[in-house]
Amino acid sequence: MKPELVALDVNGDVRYVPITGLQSLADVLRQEVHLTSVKVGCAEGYCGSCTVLLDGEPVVSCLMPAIACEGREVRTVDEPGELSGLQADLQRELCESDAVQCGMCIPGIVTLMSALIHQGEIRSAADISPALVGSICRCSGYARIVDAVERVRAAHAGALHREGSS
Amino acid sequence: MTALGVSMRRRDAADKAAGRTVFASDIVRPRMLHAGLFRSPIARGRITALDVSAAEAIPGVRAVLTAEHFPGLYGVGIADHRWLADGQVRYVGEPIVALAADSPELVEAALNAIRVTFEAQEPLVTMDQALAPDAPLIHPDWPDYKVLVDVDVERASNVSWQATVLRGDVDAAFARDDVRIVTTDIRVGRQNQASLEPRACVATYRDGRFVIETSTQVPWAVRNWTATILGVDPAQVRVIVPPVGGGFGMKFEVSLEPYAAALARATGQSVRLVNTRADEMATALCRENAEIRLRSAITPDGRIAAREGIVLMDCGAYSGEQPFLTTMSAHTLFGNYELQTARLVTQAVYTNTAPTGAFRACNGTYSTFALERHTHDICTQLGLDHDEFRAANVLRDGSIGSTGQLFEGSVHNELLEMITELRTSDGVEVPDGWLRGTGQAVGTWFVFVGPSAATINLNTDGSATLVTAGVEIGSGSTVQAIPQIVATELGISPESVVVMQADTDASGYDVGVGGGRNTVSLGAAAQEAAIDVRTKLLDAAAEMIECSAHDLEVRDGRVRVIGDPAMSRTVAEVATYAQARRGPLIGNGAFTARGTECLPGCAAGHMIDALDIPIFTVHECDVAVDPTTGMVRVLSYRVAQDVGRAINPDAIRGQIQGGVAQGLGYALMEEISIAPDGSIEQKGFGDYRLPLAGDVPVVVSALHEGAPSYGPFGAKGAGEIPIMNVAAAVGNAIADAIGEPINELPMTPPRVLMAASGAYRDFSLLHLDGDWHAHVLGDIDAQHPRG
Ligand code: FES
Ligand code: FES
Repeated sequence: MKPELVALDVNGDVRYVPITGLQSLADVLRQEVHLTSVKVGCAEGYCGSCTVLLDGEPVVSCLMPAIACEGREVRTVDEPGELSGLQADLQRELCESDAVQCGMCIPGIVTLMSALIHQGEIRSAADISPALVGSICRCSGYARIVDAVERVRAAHAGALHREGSS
Repeated sequence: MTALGVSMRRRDAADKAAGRTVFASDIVRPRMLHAGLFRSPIARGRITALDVSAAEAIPGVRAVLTAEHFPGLYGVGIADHRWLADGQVRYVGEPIVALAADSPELVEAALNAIRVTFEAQEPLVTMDQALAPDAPLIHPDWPDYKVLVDVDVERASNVSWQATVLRGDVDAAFARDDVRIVTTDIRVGRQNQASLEPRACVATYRDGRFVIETSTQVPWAVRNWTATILGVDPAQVRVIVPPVGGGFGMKFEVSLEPYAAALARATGQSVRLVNTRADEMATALCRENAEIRLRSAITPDGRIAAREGIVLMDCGAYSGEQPFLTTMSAHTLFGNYELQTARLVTQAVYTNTAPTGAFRACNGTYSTFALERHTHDICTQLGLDHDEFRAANVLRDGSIGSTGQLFEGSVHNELLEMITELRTSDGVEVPDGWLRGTGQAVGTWFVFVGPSAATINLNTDGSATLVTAGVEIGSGSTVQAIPQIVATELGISPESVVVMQADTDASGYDVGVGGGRNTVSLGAAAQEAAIDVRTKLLDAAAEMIECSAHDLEVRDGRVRVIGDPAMSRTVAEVATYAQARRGPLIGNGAFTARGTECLPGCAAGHMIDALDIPIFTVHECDVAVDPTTGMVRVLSYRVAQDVGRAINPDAIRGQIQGGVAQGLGYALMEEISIAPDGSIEQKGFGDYRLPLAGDVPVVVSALHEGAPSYGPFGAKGAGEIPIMNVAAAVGNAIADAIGEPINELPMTPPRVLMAASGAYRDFSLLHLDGDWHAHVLGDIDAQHPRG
């Protein structure tokens, strides 16, 4: 099958990339854009390591046909746009709490959790583990990741609260 | 300030969190080709015709290689493994052809164009089938294979290796009329390492040499085995290891590298070969399935007069690490407790299934499950108090182990006390109608010591460059504990220690990262190199300051006169002075196992007769069991672990949390089943259930320091052992909750329901029946000559 040149908006840069048939967004981001932040732990939608934002929504890019992303905004952990502050906080917390081991799962978890905190989907510590059902970490045993997310969520909720009340 | 005992953060975390870290699976090279393997669809059969011409004819397919390009035989104990099947296939997924093409799509097309005809043979899928008296031989050439270690081994039937222990008059002890006898049979399934990064490598052939960038735990083994398999000189192979996205033992053997290397040579281009998740499900070197019988004679005062064991480990179609691992039952299954007499036979059995291998704490996990379930059975059946029985029988200062080694320190007893202090009722809520249980497990493991080398260049800017073959596999010891050790000896900050990526062209030999050996073996080599370069530094400083080197110390980046801190020079100044007059400051370090005595004649077929650095651990947990569904919820979990010396306490606790999580997967959900055709039924993360965030409680831990160890500053390996006792502690907790034994892993809801109905009360693995001697190959008495 011959690849087709398609315009993709990746992290704010519109570029023409060759896409073959139903080739996944993860493949295209890795092979054509060389984004190492998009990891592929399974290519079957279960592990979440390939999570990116599509028009602001977290999606597993290994199941998303790249061709379906034409004209939409693809954002990765490298340039998360309006999530950058939240994401930087989460990355710092993960580092400071020594939550990162091999690191394969971390970019996907950072993207997913920042988006869900931003969208108000995570309202309390109890919401975090259920929100991680699609994120596999084989190394850490999750506890430090959950704690880091909770600290960022709480700080962010506090900031929102202060904004709201001022 | 010393850098020891400090919970330093990881230098590599920020880039990992930002997605900037380049793993082997992320590497791209100019004109890079993609590679694939054609794998056998059947478990046993002869290849009668192999036609690759249609694949070769596809434009863009650059090389198609078959068995003749891979002449060497691989093995750890026995060389029994051709890297591409030659005439005979032995498992579903066995590679037959390796090829490279311009794109992944072309690789797919070429694989589909390969034509193979087989004369299929009935596969031997279970150990039961493989050990049947009339079973055909999976390796008819076994007697001609080279044994790679200096150990005598019995050879017969489909047994690839046998290790035995015999100490004392076991028959007489069982025949005593005052002892009571308890038997426990155990069956466990496989566990897939499932590192999130699969096995992956990129090979290049340049200037007559192979350069392999690969996701491995063992760069030197990959170098040497790639050379053997390809039939080239080892000096022609260079192995470089980027950060590894999880290993857990699966990457402790050579794997994809010889294929990529041969394809790179054939094409003159870089070649990338990365397993898919489906490949890893079908061919990962899983923790092996095993079957165990334990029988013990208990005296009226609650001591173990005799213990007898039979262990069958399924090594799959090729023996790999399993001959080595047969050794470990003596130290784990027959560890923990004082035994007055003992006999044990452990066999690795060939089957027509994917080869198994090392997985964090290896057979220690199910040996501990079997032993601690047996201990629970002994106490329950004989009406003994569990805590008292353990406290009275655990190995202590002066105890003799099963192979006759002398133990030092009463670490188990101290850990048993520590664990009770961690007990709490906080947050332990049992859902309505659920049954609650508590379980404990004691475990004994070891540090897999062995050769390591280190070089340190002390630079004129005051920094030190550490060169080793140490790989960063995610555990952090290479970027945390080891620079902390070097910094402590050199009196500089750990941030000033540059850690070079593992590269066999730059560093000396190393066994690899795994077996809890990194901090101990690489740490000790690095420590010796640091002491070596410090000695040279102090000599130069003595000349500068005009005093004796004995009066000098180095702290906080300065060499100073002891008792007169005003008299000092910075490390950078001294290094600059030394370099100008004597040349650059370089230190070297080398380390290997010291070897520990055991009683002569106790162990046969063993690659390790005694544990050089034993490690002890105690786990305990509370569980709730839903009697209607068999669901198990772990309410709380605690660990007391012997670490020798905690160089980085937070890093150790991170390993404990992660290790317990993997152990919970092993205990409760990670199930692998093998179909009658020999294929593994679970194909991906959809049907192979890994622990998720909601499955893992926060693990509370206490670190025990001060037990004897010749590791640097008294450290022991801390990253491997946290997984070991989990299935055992959870199993005992479930047994406590339901009031019935449970003898099979994983303890999925259907098995828990079976257990609750009493199904394991008389659980008996029939092929383990009969006299113990009938299970032993060869003449047991001749294998154990008394000195
Ligand atoms: S790689 Fe996309 S979910 Fe695993
Ligand atoms: S840190 Fe390795 S998978 Fe999460």
